Amino acid sequence: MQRNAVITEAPWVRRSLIALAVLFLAGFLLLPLLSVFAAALSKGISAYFASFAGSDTLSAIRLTLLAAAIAVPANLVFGLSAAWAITKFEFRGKQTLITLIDLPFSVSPVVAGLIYILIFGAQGWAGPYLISHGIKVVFAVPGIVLATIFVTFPFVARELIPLMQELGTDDEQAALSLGASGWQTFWHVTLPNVKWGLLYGVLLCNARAMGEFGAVSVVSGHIRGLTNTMPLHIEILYNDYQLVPAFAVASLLALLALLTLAAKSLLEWRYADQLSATRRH
Amino acid sequence: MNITIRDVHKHYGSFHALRGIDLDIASGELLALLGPSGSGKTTLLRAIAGLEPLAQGRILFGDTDATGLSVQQRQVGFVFQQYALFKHMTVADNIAFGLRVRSRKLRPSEAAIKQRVEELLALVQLTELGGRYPAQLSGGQKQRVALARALAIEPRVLLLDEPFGALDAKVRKDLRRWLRKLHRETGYTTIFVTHDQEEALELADRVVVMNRGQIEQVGTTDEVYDFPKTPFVFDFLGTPNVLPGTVRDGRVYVDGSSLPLDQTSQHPAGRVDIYTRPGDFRVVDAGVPGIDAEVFELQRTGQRLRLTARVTSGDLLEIELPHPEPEQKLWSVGESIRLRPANFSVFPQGATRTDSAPDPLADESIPGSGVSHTVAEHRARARN
Repeated sequence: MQRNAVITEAPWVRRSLIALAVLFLAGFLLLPLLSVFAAALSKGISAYFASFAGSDTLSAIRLTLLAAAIAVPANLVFGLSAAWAITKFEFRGKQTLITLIDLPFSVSPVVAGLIYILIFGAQGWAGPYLISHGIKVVFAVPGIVLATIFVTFPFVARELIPLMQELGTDDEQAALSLGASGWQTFWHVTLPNVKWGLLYGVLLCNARAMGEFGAVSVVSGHIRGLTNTMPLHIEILYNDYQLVPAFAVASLLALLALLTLAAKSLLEWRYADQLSATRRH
Repeated sequence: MNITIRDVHKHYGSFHALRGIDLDIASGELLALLGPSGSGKTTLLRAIAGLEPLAQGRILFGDTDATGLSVQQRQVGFVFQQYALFKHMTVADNIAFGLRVRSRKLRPSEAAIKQRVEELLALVQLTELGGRYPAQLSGGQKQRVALARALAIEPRVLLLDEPFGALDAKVRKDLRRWLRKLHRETGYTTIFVTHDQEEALELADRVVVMNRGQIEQVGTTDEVYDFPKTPFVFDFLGTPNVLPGTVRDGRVYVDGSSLPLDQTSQHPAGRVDIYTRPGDFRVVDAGVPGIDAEVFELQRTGQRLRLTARVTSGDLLEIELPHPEPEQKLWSVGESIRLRPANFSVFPQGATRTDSAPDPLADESIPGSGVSHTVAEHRARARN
């Protein structure tokens, strides 16, 4: 194919730019990821699998999956409602709401964790009352779930707001004028319009929920077998010089993240026709 | 279904979008809401659909007060400017949507829905395309799908927002003709919004000319074109030539000559603006009453002859004449000619213009030129 010299760079420029990007990706993303697997498998495959045998490890995996299983659906609902409210209605304080949604992105996770200690801790505002009623939030599973929800709050909403703003309200109004109820409009028109953005937001949210360290670390109390999530467990193992188990659990966490990305690519590939059909012109 | 609109007001914050609209729409009528952007025409259409809550006023569908009814309850067919087709549904599913969302009691059987969709696809001439997605359709096809979808619910009134705005000129013309035919066949009361005067005049039975949230004039296409009530209507329906003049003793004096006024109707007195359309002028012999001018520019474009003439005061007139006969002598630039407007309208001076030129004929300043143009509106026809 003939290339237009005016709008493309010289071949050597193109090649070096591509090479630079590939080298950068390999050096900073691929290599560290591979080294995790290499370190995990350094003592052989049996040592690798033995790392998962401990009950502490299993409970850490369970807790991580549980936290994600609660945080992701919760933020799916929150994010969808927030995006819906912001894009479909006019109301006072809209800008404030948008800023608030971004708060978890701008606040350090450690601060996010401390917020929950301040509220639910033994010396906190609501802590003594809850503890006297037998409800433990901090240094227990509820605290971990809360912290996870907090840090992953913006993902779904952030993904949906620009998309829904671009889509406008014509489709919804058309549905209403055709006699559809609010719920039918949401289910048959709005949701299908945003489903790819929603899925992407959910996948990112899930990846972060499983990988969150800072905020969870503050509220967890690091009680082995009880309040340790996978990232926390990895740190403990690493600090104990149990390198193979540490990297084995790390590899599992990385694998879960890769699986998330693979799921996204698979869906994109599987529904490519629909995806292109639903895209705006 | 006839529609009655009474004293409808709508505000957006401090912006007064509709200022007391009164309008009666007859059953089966094809009505155009015509106006520039910001004139309130789309707001009025959306208010009829129930998509805009009203600050004041009432809207009646037949004898029932629809003011308090929701969009769903009003059962109107609304076609959006950008069609608003559901992108993830096929054409057939789009059309069936309004039937499928009905409550179980009112919903036709799936077979009946299928049949209705087939009928509508045939009506909009898209029989083969039921299985396609909106993204695979051209603009004109999308427009017809949107129309079929709106018709599926057997609407009480069909509302179209700038139905041809997003289409190219050729498709627009075809679709216009087709919509006229569809309206004749189906007989739905139809209201459409447009900013294109040609579209409104060609398609509609009656035209509502709107400006700044108010109705300037309502009438048949001939009425609004031949008897514009306000300078705005005259201006909006075509590019007018405006000459300053003075009305005295049943005649209008303009640029050194005078023309007789129609004695049967009332005229504004004193200083006036004389509005003419480019096609209204004839070139006449020196003895006949008319306006003296000199040929400033001459251009032949296809069937028409475009002539720019300069009157004594220096104002330029844009004139369109029919294509000259081959043997006819054409005027040359700088040549003196006499022009006679076959039709013209007289409005009090400054009704829309702010930069009116001084009137060479006015020997005195005549009071009363500030008469409200809605009262002193007038249309005059020169007699030959």
